[in-house]
Amino acid sequence: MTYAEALQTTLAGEHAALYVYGALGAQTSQSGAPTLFAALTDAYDAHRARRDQLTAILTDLGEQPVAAEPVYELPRNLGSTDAVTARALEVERSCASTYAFLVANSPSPERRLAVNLLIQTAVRELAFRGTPETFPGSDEYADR
Amino acid sequence: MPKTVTSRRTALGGALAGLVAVTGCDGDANSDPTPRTEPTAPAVDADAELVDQVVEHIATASAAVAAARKQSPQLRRSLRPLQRLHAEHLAVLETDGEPTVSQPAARDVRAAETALQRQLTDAAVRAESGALAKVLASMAAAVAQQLAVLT
Repeated sequence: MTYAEALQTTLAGEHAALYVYGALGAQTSQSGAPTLFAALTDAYDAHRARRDQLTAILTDLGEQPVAAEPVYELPRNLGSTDAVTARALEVERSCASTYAFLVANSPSPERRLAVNLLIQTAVRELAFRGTPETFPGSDEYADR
Repeated sequence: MPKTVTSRRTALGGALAGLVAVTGCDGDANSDPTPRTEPTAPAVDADAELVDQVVEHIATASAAVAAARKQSPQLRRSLRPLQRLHAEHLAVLETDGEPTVSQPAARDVRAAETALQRQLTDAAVRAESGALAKVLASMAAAVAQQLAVLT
């Protein structure tokens, strides 16, 4: 696994995260659930910025950034704020695993970006009723 | 609780031996890339000194938490998760016996934890081993989460 390949994998994940967040936002009332709506908006903005950053890095490396899929599968039951919140938490936890993967596959000089992304995502989990974990993004070290 | 490891060298070797197998951010997305890789695993000794430093940093922060917990019953309860976190992180990295704390226990838990998060981040960046970098970054993220909920 090269650094560029790890970046491509992470970018593919960001494409998917953005798609899912767009759907979650569409299911959430800004007036009826303002806190959740704001958290979803913040998350969407953060992931969009990450997507753009990863795209730029890959381009600078001379790579062709992976494109988004035309469509992604979404869970059917998004009819409640609880369901939307749970799905958003799943997205962030999955992103934490992906960033941890990027940490492991980044050369030392380039690794700080991945570490910071992992930290930001771990903290964002808390906005979606996540609870602090012992090893965010690295479940294999928990309960060993 | 994490498994107790018999020695720091063993723990580090275990971290290096870990495989990374994760899914992308997309969860159920139909294009889910499922990367599987073995991070580069240099000689265990390459990171031994770094691990020693990280253990000392965690022990220092843990001492600050322990000191604060003695101040009041409320702090004793509220800081229990943080002290448990440090113990579980130390269990993955080491140890034979109690780690040495090189400076007096600080009273300011937030400052100590903020410093620890930075030290773990720096250690993750410096690590020769990708697998060790991953676990150190995860520890930094765990501390960040605890800081976010610290009242």
